[in-house]
Amino acid sequence: MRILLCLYIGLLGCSLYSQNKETLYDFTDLPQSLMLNPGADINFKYHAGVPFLSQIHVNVGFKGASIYDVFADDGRDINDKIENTINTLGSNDFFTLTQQLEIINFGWRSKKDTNLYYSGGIYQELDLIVYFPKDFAVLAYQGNQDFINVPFRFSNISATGEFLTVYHFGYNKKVNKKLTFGARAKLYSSIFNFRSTKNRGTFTTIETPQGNNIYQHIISNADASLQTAGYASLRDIESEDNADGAKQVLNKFLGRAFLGGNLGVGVDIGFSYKLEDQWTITGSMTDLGMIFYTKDVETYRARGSFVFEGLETPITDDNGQDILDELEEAIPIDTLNTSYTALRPLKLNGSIKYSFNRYVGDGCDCQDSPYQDAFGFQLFTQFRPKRPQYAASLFYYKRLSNFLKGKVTYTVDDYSYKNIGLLLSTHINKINFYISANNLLEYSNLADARGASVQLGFNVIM
Amino acid sequence: MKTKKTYALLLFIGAILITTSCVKELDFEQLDEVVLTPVFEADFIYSEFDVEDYIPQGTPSNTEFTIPPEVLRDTINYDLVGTDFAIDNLDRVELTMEVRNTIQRAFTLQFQFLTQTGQPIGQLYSIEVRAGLGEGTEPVVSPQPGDPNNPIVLDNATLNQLASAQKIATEIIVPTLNSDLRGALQIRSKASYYVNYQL
Repeated sequence: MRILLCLYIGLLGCSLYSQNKETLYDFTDLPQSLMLNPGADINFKYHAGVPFLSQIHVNVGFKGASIYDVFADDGRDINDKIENTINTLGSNDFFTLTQQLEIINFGWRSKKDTNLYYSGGIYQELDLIVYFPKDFAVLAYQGNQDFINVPFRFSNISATGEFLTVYHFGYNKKVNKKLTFGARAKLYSSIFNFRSTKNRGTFTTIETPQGNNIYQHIISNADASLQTAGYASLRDIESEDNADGAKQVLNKFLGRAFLGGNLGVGVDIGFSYKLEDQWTITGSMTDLGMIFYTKDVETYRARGSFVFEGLETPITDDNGQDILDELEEAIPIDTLNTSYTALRPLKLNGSIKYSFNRYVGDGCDCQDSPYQDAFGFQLFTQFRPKRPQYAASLFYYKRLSNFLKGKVTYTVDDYSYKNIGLLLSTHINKINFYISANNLLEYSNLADARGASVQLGFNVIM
Repeated sequence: MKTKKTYALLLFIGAILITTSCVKELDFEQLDEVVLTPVFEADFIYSEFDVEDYIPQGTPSNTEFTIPPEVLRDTINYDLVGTDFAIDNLDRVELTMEVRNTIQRAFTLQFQFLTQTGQPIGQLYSIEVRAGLGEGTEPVVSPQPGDPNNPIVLDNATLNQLASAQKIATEIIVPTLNSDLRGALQIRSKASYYVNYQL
């Protein structure tokens, strides 16, 4: 319990947001921009990411609270702070964690048609979202005494988690001087998945002045399920030697990572369009796809209704009364092995950009754009189990030199109105290094931040 | 030259980020002070005793009769207060009874915790039930504020005593009745569990 609470509050603290990569989007100096918009207007001859180092991305977010709200050393009783935090949080607040690691990433321009650029690679992703189960947190923390006649809703319980590798290959084509279009095919290889969404039903303690007893405890139309893929076989690993057990788990994970698990397919599509010389609009849709869970599937489902109104005495039933048996009979927990399909979290990006400050003079390595500055507006949406997440950003792009390019973003989203992000990308000969972080204003006290995101990586670009 | 400047700038920005980023005044030791104190209310026992059901067949009008004690005695499994969780983490349990009586007789309601083998453990709890006013009248509710055992409080020390309790015996002690008596005794009750769970 304590470990769980520590973990939960710990995660609550190191909060970053959704999968929004506002600094990287349409940053066409980097090949990783193709992963956010396969139709990005890039001008590389080829690129190769340094294996395992071309993109390290971590994104943790908590909407509604920060670690500082609970653990601040401010002399207040921690129990009051926890209670305040629980009261402040709503059932639409959530914790999210996304981590991506590019294993390989490469691309080259077609020799036959220089307007075509191909790119591909493999990356690993962990994506987790857990909504705050407000009603049941209140029930656990305060009990039901102050919540008589108030329903505790099972719909509050909503979470999904996915650990997978993605194999992708895409093309990017300059259709004409104005339009660049791109698409990317993806093959998902799921390592582990769980999801518990669309739970229904309520638990209510109601007062019954005219009833058999003081209350009735009612579980009404409960329908709760937890779908898992990749869990059952792990549970079956029986090894007394921890190291051996860990090795078996790792072997299973590796097997699934290399297409041995549940598979899925998806696409990314996107475009860039120059309205005029200096105005550009872009749009993309990524991870439009699904995974088919057919192997190693186990779903736990509980359905039914139950009313408890105490123990009747004298007991009329010869067998006595066992409440737990009655409950299990009324709401049986079934273990099913039915296949299921789950959509990937679809992401939409869009932007409008105005470029200016045309480079004059010699020495410009202006292979992509003759302009040194740009500003614009970006929108991001990601579909999530309960509702989409949105973010809107203003950005300013600056080519500081041929060696150094940067982008600053100001983002407004569900969590913050003061999220400043910065990306710096160095290009020295063919070697590129970039680093990006957001929520810079919160760096003076990271514990109070509700979000931040870090990406960094090395590429070889020509 | 430009390369050097670039690195100098990156270093400068990195230094600013590192020196300004910090985690202020956090105290994780506070976890030791976290105490969960929810209060759960749950129905306890309920019963209905209608005089008419207990008048022996063929009893003439206005005749006194008694009910054998075993008829209104019952033992139910109730090991909630005897679990390790209860002993370690329950501050107290309050049993609140609400007896509604329309029978023109006073009764006594008794509770006794028992071990698995049926041995009494802890004290015997009694609730005095006031006489009602007759069938069709507003029931008289017992116990009333200030009456003993209203509610029955099982504090942590008592819960420790009841560690081996597995059952609870209930008994309605009925005085001599009259075959003309009508009305019912309705017993309703709840248990309030005051949890004190330290992480």
